[in-house]
Amino acid sequence: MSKGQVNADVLIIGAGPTGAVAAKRLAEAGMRVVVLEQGDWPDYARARADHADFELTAGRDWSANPNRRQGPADYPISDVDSDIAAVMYNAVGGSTVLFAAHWQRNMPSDFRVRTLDGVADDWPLTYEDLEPYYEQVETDFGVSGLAGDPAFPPGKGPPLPPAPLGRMGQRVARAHNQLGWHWWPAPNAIATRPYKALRPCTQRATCMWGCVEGAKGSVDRTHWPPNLALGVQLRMGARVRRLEVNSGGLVTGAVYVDRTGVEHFQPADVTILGANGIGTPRLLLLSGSGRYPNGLANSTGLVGRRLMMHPFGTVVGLFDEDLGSMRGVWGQHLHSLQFYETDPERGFVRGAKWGLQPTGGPVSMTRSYPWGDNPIWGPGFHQSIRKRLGRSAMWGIIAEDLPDEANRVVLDPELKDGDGIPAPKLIYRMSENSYRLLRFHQERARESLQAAGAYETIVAPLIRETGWHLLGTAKMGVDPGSSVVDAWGRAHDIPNLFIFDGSIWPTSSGMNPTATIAALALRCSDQLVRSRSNQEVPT
Amino acid sequence: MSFDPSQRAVLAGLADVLIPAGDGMPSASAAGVAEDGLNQVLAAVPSLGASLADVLARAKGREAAEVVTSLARTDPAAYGILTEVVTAAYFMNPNVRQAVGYTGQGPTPLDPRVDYMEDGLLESVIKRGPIYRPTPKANR
Repeated sequence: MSKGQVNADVLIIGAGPTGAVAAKRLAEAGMRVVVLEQGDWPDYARARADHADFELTAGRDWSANPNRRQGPADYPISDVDSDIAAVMYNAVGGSTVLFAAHWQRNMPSDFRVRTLDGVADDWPLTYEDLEPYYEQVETDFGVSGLAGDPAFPPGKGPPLPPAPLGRMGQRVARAHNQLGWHWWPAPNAIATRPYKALRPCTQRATCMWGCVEGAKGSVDRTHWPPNLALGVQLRMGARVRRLEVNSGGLVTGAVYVDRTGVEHFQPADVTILGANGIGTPRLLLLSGSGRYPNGLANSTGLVGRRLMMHPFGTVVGLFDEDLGSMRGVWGQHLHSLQFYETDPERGFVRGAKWGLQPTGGPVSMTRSYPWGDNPIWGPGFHQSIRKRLGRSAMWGIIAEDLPDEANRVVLDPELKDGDGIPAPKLIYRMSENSYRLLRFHQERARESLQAAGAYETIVAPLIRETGWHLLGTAKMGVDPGSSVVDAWGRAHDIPNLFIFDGSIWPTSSGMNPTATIAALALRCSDQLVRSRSNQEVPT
Repeated sequence: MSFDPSQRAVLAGLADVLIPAGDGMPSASAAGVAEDGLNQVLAAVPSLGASLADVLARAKGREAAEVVTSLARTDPAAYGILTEVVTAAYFMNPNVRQAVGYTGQGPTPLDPRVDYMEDGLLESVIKRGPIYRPTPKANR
């Protein structure tokens, strides 16, 4: 094993949004930061929005499912015992490379679920604690949107104006006003004007399959060039095998394997995990030893447990006019939080956020998602294509997923990645609350589209490959007996080990999580800078 | 992977069951799905070739409509391969794209109009007031 690496003040595992945000703040404070990333830069030369084969090749090069993609940076995930398959992207930029860029702050109640709804847990921080960090990361990511949304406390809005509603958005907005339901121009991490390194969106509706325009605020574009200029060392093709701990119970660094199979040791005073809600618990479980038989930072047994993945619903409406929905911001044109808060009359707790999206090109009109088994083939084919193409609009519904210790990430006893490291296995079942919640929201979304003039609505079948939001597997809390990390991401068991990613969420909210992941990573980083003189480090 | 004329003939038959001529649109085979269309699909995603060849081998000598019905009912994976190849090839044909009004995912600059302010749309939402539950005072 190579041991010649220079000691870092801070070692970060993962160059996705968590690692990028943390590296920026810590490097700005003068710390020597090393980031290990198992992937490479995303190859936008493979983004084929301008080619006739776009709809075919999007799934080849930009599949969100690592089991399908099977790139050199990917590790397999056993999901046979899970209702939902996890999706992610392993590269510089992490899953922001493929995310739909829906930039949703959590609402105040999301931080007080136990107090307000009597279920799950409160967070050890409030909306107000996080608000200044939301404002900062919205500036850093080039977020577009509009201040004044009555679904949130008053405050500063993002730096760029929102994308237009378009014809489909205007129809739905009018319908919601008639119904008395909430809507608002949607917040997106998509530039609507030239902004720092970002160019304005050109509405190709290809955001999730490689943004060729350079308009989407993925951290490979918004953070990594400035991070490198600040002196952050980004080491790619570096897959971490385990963390090392000294006799004093402090993490001394990480053992990683490079793409040639050679092992290296990167020493550091402080280690931060930003490897997502599956990669992070996997690494903690892999780092077990005689002294830590259940894995690192796992005296509670909670590492890997409470996995939340946001069951996802979709409802499509067909309209009798061209809405231009082959293209648009994808992204979302508007959002609705009308049914986000708990209403005990509904028979479930918590709620969901809706985002109005385009539906894409002609091949997408033939697929079983979102169209279900509605017959298209045969004599009715051409008529069905004409009904759907450009004349359909789609609500995407993010359902809050309550924590359940039985839903978990473990190490698979047999499956291994390309370097022989045990792969993660998901054990996850959707709860009755989630099913009830989704059914209610699907029906309301159907009413929304009908009020907007849809002559037909289709509730999409629930599909497995929707596990974008990987949360909860290293819970944050005040009590070391019932949580893995404190409110600043510091492991209760190991004082120089931090987790800043979505693993630490006590509850999942019903929002797309990147805004809160980024804000939380910035808040935790700020605290690490403030407390650096008192930080315990290995000698 | 190359496909011989007999395999292409089988594909053409299956493709026309899925996409027959009608409504002023050509059938799949008339749009070249089993010829240039297939070549383009395989050039883009060569890995589809082996699975497609398997489907075609199973269909050889059988009535095309019966094969399509049977695959849809008993082998969703194979059916998915067949429909993906046929639709992708069909909609790569420039004449077909033009006929359905599809110009691809090309750029469309954002409309600078502030359309969310038109007709008092947003004012209605604002007038309805806050819809969030604030942080309980004891926690602030």
